[in-house]
Order: sequence, then C-alpha cells, then structure tokens
Amino acid sequence: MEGGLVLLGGGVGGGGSSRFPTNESAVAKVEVVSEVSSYPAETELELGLSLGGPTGKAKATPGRILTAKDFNSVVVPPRASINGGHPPSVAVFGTKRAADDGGSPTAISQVVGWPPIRAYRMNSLVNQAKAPRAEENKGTNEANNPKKAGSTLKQSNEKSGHIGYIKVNMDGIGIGRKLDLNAHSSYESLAQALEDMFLRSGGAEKEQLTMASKLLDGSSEFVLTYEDKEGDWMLVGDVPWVMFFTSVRRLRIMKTSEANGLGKISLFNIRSFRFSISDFCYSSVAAPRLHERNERQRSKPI
Amino acid sequence: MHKKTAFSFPDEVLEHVFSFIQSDKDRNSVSMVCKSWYEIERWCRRKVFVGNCYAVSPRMVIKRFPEIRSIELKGKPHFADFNLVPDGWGGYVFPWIVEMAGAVPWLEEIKLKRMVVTDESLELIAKSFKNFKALVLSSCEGFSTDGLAAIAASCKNLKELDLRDCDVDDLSGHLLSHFPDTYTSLVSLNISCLGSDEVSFSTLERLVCRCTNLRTLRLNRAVPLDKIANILRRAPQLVDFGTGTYAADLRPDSYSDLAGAFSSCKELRSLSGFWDVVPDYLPAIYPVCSKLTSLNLSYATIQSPELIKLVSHCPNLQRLLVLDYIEDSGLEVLASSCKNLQELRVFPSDPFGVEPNVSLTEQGLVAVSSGCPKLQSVLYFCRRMSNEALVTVAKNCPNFTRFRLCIIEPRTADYQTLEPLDVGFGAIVQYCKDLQRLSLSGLLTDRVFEYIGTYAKKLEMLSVAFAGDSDLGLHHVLSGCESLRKLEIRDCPFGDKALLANAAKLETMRSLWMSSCAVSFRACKLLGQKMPRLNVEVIDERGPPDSRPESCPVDKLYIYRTVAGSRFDMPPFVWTMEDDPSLQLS
Repeated sequence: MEGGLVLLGGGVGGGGSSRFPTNESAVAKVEVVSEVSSYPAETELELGLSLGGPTGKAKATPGRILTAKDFNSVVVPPRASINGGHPPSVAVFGTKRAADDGGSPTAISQVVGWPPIRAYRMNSLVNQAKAPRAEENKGTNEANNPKKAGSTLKQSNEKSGHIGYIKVNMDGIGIGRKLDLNAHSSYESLAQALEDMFLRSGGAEKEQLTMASKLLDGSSEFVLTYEDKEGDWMLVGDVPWVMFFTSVRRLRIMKTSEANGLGKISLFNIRSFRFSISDFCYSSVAAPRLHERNERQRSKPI
Repeated sequence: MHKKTAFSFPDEVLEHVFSFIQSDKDRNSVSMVCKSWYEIERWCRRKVFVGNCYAVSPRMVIKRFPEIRSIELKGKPHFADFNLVPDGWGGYVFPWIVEMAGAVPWLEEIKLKRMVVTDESLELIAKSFKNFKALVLSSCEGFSTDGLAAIAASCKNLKELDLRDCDVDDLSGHLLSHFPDTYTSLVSLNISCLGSDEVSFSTLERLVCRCTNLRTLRLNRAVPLDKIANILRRAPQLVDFGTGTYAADLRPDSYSDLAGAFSSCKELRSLSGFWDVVPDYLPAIYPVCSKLTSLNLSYATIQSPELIKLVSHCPNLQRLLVLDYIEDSGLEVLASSCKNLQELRVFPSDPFGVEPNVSLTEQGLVAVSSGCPKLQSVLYFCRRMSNEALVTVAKNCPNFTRFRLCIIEPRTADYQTLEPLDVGFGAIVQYCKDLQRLSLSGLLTDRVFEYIGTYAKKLEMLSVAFAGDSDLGLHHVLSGCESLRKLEIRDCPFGDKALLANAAKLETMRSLWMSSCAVSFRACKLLGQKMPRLNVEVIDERGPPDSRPESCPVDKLYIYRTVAGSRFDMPPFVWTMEDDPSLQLS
C-alpha cells in the first residue's frame, strides 16, 4: 500500500500541477483500457472461505475489462478525464462521439439505465420538458408546430414519455417486455430489437424464426401494432418514424389472424398508402385506424 | 458456596416486556438469548421485515412467527429501478399472499417494494384478511385499478392505501367510487402514480368529507387545480398533501379561493405534486410555508427566481426535493434560509442534454453543506465536480448518513485538476463516520475503493458505476467494509479474483449485483457449487451461458444469501448455479 492513505487536508488544491494528468493511476487506466487481452485461464481459482482472507495478495493484473462491444454503447467524451496522447482505442470513441455531435448539441447517446433516474420520473420529465420552453417562445412554436399548440395542455395529462421505456407484448407469450424506444431511430432497428427480444431470448413459446422485416411487411404470421396517444391500435410502419415515435404508447406483436383480418400486406402497399393519405391531410391523426384501413383496402384495386 | 438460582419470569411477563421492543435487530437479539426466550419472542412478534423475498420462504416465516400482523417484503434488486433487470425476472408476491391467507388471517398490513403484484393477489388480500388496514406498494407493477377496487370495496377497516411510483394499469375503473358510502376510516391515500384515470371529483370530495381522520392525501396529475380548493376546505386537518396539475388560467377569484383553502389547513407540513406549475399560482401556498417541513418540487418545472422566492418562505424545511432549475444561486438562498434542512435531492431537468441547461454545479452543494448544519442525506445530480469541493463538503457535514452523487457523464474527472475524484470521495468516507449509504460517480480508480475499505466502517449500501481499474478495487470493498449489506456494481473492470477471494463475505451481505463487469461463467459456477447458502443467479439475455466459453464474462450477476434454496419461478434468461455437495468444504 502506498503511504498515501492519509488525506485529511492533504494537497488537494487545484494549483501547481499541470493540466495533463501525470499521476500513475490515470496513465495506468489508459493502458488498461487499450488492452484487450484474453482472460488469464487458470485451472484452480482460489476460494476465500474465511473472512478477512488474503489481504493485499491480489495483484492488480490487467485482465479483460469490457469488450469492445460494451464500449460501443458507452460514450467517452474527449474533453473529460484523459487527454494528451491517449491510445488509439480511446481516441476512436472520442471521435465517434464528435461525429455524432455534429454542430448543434443533440442528446447524448444513452447507456442503458444511465443516468440513474427512475423511469417513472423520466416519463414525467419528458411530458413537461416542453412546457417551460413552449411558454417562452410561444409565438414561434405555434407557427412552426401546429400539432403542439393547443395540445400542450393535453400533453400534461398524458402518461407515457419517450425517454423511457414502452411496454411490448407478444401474443402467446405471457411475460411482456420493456423496450427503450429512444435507442432506435428507424423501424428496421426497432423490428430487429423486437426479434432479438422475443424470438431469440430462449422464449418458451418460440414460433418459427422470422426475419425482422417480415414483422414490418406483414408477411409473417405476426403483425407489429402499436397503441397511440388516442388509445387506438395502429399498424406499425405507416407513418414517418418521428411521427410514430411521438405518438406510440405501447407495442403489441399481434397474431395476423387477430389484426382484423388484414391478412398479408406487402410493404409496397403500406408505403403507397401512406403517400396517398398524407397528400390529403397532415395532422395528429396521421394514419387511418386499423379497421378503417381494412375497408379502404377492400375497395382499392390491387 | 451458594449458587444463586435464576428466577425465571412467567411467560406473560416476558411477553409484556418484549412488547416494548420494536426494532427488528433488538428482537432478533432477544430471540437468541436462550430457547425459552426464542419461543416466547416468536409468538409475540407482530412485524416482520424480509429484505429479499427470496432469502426465505413464506412458509418458514409463518411457521416461526405465526401471529404477525404486518409484513414488509422487498423483491427486485435496486438497479431494477433503472431498467437493468429484465422484465419477468421475478419478485412475485402471490405465493406469499397465498400462504398468509391461510395461516395468518389477522394480518393487517402489507408493505411491498419492487415486487410484481397481480390483481389476483390484490383480490386475495381483499378476501382473506378481515381486519386489513394498510397496503403500501412502492415501485411495484403488474396490477390494475381493478385489483385496487377490490381492496377499496372489501376492506372496511382500511386506513392506508399508498401507491408510490407504481406502474398501474389504468382501466378507468373509478377506483374511489368503490369505497362504500359507509366507509370512513381512511387516514392515508396516495394515488399520485395513477395515470390519466378520470377521477370523479364529487366522489373524491365525498370521500374526503366523510373520512375525518384523513391525514395524508396525494392526488394524481389528472386532478386539476380548480378542484383543490374544495378538497382542502373539506379536509383542513390534512398534514400531507399532494396536488395534481398545478396549472390553470389565472383568475383572481380562483386564486384567492385557493389561497384561502391553503390557509385553512393549519396542520399542513408536507406538500408534493406540482405538475405543470404555473408560477403565478405558487404564492397561494405561502400561508402554509412557514410550517412546512417537507416539500417535493421535483416535478415542478419552475425556474430559479420562483424557487428562490418559495424556499425563502420555508424556514422550517427539513426535506427538499427539487429540479436543478434551482441552480447554484437558489441553493445558496436555501443554505441561508433553511437551517433545519436534513435531506436534499436535486434531480436533472435535462439528463440527456449534452450542454448544461442550467447553472448548477458543485458550488450549490458546497453552499448547502456550509449553511445547513443538520444536513444528513443528499442525492445530487450535476455535471461537474472537484476534489476540493468534495473535501469541503465532507468537512462541513460529518453527520452525513446518505451521500449519493451522480455526475451525469460517466468517468468525468475533477474539472479543475483533471485528476480522478478518489481523494474527494475518500474525504467523504473519512470524515463522515456514520455514513450508511454511498453512491459514486465520476472518474475513479482503485484508490477510492482503498479509502472506502479503510474508512467506511458503517457503510451498508454502496453503488458503483464506471469506476475502478482492477479486481483490487472490489477486493478493498469486500474485505474492508464491515457493515456492508448491499453492493451494486455496473460497468466496472471487476472480475473473478476479488469475488472468489471474498466468497465468505457474501454470506454476511443481503445481496451483490454486478452487471457489465468481467466475472466469468466459470467463477459463477464455482461460487454456486461451493456456497450452498448463496443463490448465484446469472442473468443473460444472449442465451444460455454454457453456449459460450467458460471464461466468457456473464452479462449480469445477482448473488444473495438464502435459506430457501434455489427458487423455482425463474424466467428462461436466468440461471441459478447449482450446489454441488461433493465440492463443499464444510
């Protein structure tokens, strides 16, 4: 042990030392991070069965820490902690982050469960976060966002938020799951995540594996639907992603047979539908109700 | 030689004496004095607290304490609050209700935290316990307003219905209308987490009117501001009140109505709610501010000037929850106005923003630590910190019992020196000798764990994220923290060595959680085999851990001591490492 334990009133002040960290621990950390060594294989791992067992014997060997995969979701900002000549791997993350940032500050890409704020509180925040800013620039807001004006009061009564998790249920599987919608920016990534969640996690009732895209285009025996702000169940994929993102309350992977006899709908049809509807009206009612779609489908020549 | 014979008291006398001993710890000590005391004590224990519902089986509890009137259970690990525990992990209360329904019909009180409660469970409670008095559900899920309606309708002696931060399926069942017209015993009602369930205001007013013992009423967001005045006037005896939406068009008559209603509540000591606050209506609460001891503004998106005005009116404040809109300037005013402050929680208004949206830094915390001598409990979210500030805070507040600091960006260094924050947190554990709970953040090396292991002798719960360099860090904590009960770790480079070297320690703790660390499957298996009184659960949504090499780290690991053996209600993504009798050493 170093003789540095006594720190009462010890030299903490920010003066003196250079801005670049020269202390060992920071440098050691940098070295350790860049090392992706294989985990030391040992035949017999010692088990400490008595309390206060071997002290100080355990050496600080650099083992495998986090895999590159883990780091992909962790953002290491270039400005904080280590600067100066850091090894390539850390720099990579730094640049990745810079690329994400672009010009204007956007949301930090999020690590699961960080910062540690309860989902309940986050959902509440989202619904209100718009409020003070909305009041400040009411004039401009109303002009730019017809959907928002007049709906701010309604928003305050809404339950679901979008920084946070939405529930996902799949017909035939008892246990529902929660999905962080904020981690996705497209339907494809959403469908992939759902497939990973329900079809690959060793779920007890596994139907045949389906390609993620089949969930979207309706060619599997399941259809992906969502409940929107007004409580209506809609087919996922009809509206532009952003519109979906702001109105979805929860998801349901529904048996196609239950989805009002929609049957097999090709991606082509869905897309063409959206174009024709949006020609007529741009409003918060973005896509027709499921059963309404049904009727229209029947009358439309295919 | 004369031997004095010990006089033994009749059982009834001992029982009477024991009835004055309420704390669980003391009761446990009493029961270990001798066999006869054990027997007497177990028949007269009325309250049981089970910190981990899987540590013991319901049958065992009831067998030992057949006359309990109150039970408190906790289910999921704490990190479940942040969605780190996948849905379906466990924590089901139903088996407990079933056992108790049969064996403990006089049960009066059930308190649950982080458990899965179904409507079926609630209906069984309503049916089985004739003298049921209190249901407190904290961060629970799995039930709907239908289940609650059963409780409201059947439990004639219900005093307390408290739903804190629960995830309730709102079926618009008009929960309150299920309380019979003859029902008057309500003392505490907290429905703040119910969503947009339409509350019938006339039903609410009538309920409030006839329940003259009502002390706590926390409404949900759906209750608009213009209804509050009527409710307050009908319940001037309220001590704890939670508003709904605190927004309305400003009208002089409704404002004075509200202000008058608040003034009529002479006993009011605690306020909360305040969703969607319109600042102009805030002064309506000024009449009660001088007596307020607790104020929860953590949902109030009001800016620093309004917050400053408000806290300046509350000299007796002991507990404040607020968003970081208060800023350093607001905290300085708090420090000078509220000398009785014991607990402060500052939440981030924009947790995912890249740039700080408010001027809240370490300075605010330093100011409060300096101005509020009774400060004991802190939860503080900020974007920058320095060792210097932490040392100052530590010296100012040696009485801290809970210190939880969250620097929003992981691994953020001291902004002044760019060094790790080891020394700062080291000062906290060194000066605050009674520290029971600590949450770390920022750039931290193994050094901080050395400090913690050396000084934090009363520490019971430690939360660690994105910290440390090696197994040595974990080893310091496990070998040094004598009072440690709960340890939760995420995204740290801790592996097998420290865990295995301190295996015996794990039996002295309630639980250990490690996720995104470097503990191999092999180590988990070894631990499970050799430690029969531990459940070693591997939680991995990638698939069975034996489909990967043994040296592969597991995704999530939850280890807890238990006398109930492996559980049987695990979902497909949880594996319990099996005991291997041939490998046990003693």
